[in-house]
Amino acid sequence: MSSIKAIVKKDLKDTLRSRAVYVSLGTAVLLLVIWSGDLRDMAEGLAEKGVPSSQAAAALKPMINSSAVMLSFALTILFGMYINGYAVTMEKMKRSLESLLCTPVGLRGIWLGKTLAVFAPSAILGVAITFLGLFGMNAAVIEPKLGAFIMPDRAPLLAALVGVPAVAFPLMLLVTGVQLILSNIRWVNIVFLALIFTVGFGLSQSLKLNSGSWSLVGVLFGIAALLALLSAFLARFLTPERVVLSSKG
Amino acid sequence: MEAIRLEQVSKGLGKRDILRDVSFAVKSGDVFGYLGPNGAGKTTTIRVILGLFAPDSGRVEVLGQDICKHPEVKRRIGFVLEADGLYDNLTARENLAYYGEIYGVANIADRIDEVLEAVGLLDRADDRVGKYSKGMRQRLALARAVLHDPELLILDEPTAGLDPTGQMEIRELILDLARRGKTVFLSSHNLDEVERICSRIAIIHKGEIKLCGEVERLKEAGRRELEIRLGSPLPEEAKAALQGLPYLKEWRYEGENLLLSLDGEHDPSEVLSLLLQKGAAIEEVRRRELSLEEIYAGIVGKEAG
Repeated sequence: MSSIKAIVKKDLKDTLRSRAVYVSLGTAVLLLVIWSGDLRDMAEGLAEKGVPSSQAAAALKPMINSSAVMLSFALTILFGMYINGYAVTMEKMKRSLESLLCTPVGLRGIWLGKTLAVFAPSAILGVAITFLGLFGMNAAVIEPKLGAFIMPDRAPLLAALVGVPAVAFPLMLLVTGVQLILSNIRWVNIVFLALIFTVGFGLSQSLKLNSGSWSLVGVLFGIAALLALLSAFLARFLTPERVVLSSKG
Repeated sequence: MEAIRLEQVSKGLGKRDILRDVSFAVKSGDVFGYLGPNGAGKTTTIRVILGLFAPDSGRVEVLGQDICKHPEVKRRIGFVLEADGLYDNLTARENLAYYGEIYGVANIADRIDEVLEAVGLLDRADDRVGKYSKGMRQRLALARAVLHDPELLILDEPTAGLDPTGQMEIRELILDLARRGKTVFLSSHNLDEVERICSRIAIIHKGEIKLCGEVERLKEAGRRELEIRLGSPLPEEAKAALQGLPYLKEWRYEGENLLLSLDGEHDPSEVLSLLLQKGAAIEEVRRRELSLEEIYAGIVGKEAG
């Protein structure tokens, strides 16, 4: 366990000193600006029409609910992509993973350590920035225009805070595992994008049906279980030999 | 006790056989040189020893254990691989702290200072490794290898790409480790380096061990070649006598000189007396000393040719 902790600590330190985190933070801010533009337009439209604040709040609620879940998912995955690229791909390119495999940690420990190193900052940043964005938009636009402070319902709140990280962890476990054994980075990216779009599409469809429903939480945990099963299947193919042979050089 | 034992180890990658029935043993406390040209199978052997590759057949024992079944034995092994595996964004101290934590090294801060001082990098301990020269990186990789005070060190081309001064520094460090009783398995292209620091060697070529033994004994075997300067051509009777000698492996002319290659522990005076009896005009006799380079070229060059 202490070895896994060492991997997580080292990877976090290494990643924080790379440009990856700062580029991903910039991209996250851009995403928030685009999203807040849509929300502001809608809030201003409702204010101009003189819609009472209770009705305006009800009209904005589905958008806030969806935003909480989708933003949290998109931002967590965005940070995950950048950090993962640094923590795993770079280590394979520089063949430092081969050295790590010669230590007593073991491949499963490395897999778990690397995944946690990608997941922990991504989930924290993803959820934190989502809620900072929601508070910020309420404070800057919604409350001054409509006189109401609109936060997500309990189900999407739980989905954003717990459900999204529950999906993100096995997703990153799967992607890290694929990265460990595939040498062609294009294939890794294809797998990563295919998984993100499939999960993202499933999520957006269930949000369209009813953004405040508890079934959303169920859908997220269902996806998480499926991804965990896929990761368990992938574990059968994970050997030090495959990792070494798929590394550069 | 043997630190490493490989018994008829074979390993194929894809359709290629990389190792074929490789067998050798490294005794505890030995500095063992592993020689071979590029693509001979040196790195694959190291990967098998370190448990990165499972052999297709044969047995591998490291410090008395099967490393694939008992990975905990890795705690007793230090290594420097072909790619140093250091993290450019971290300082030397942070790189060592990372591995120290993985190996569970006690009093890690003091130990880091100790090994950095041993490799002459204490004054650069807080610089990022990305700023290091190749020589400094190799020294740091060696510091990482000894951080947890392992019994066995596996070094894959530790002086590759270094200038002569850098090579000398690394050699000194390896010799110092050997003096402190560590077993060193050194894979190298550098024959001079191996000759200077290794007590035993194995030569691998095209995945097969071609020669294995103590350096001095191998050179001793080479000394069983006699170089004889003749005053006149060798009489036919003497030639016929040479043909019938069971302990004479080979005889040939090299320029004006006659070269005799003797088998086993045979006393050379026996063959010289015979030649004199058969009328050979021997003017000068000297034992021919083979360097490791000549032994190596004799194996690898002969096969390549």
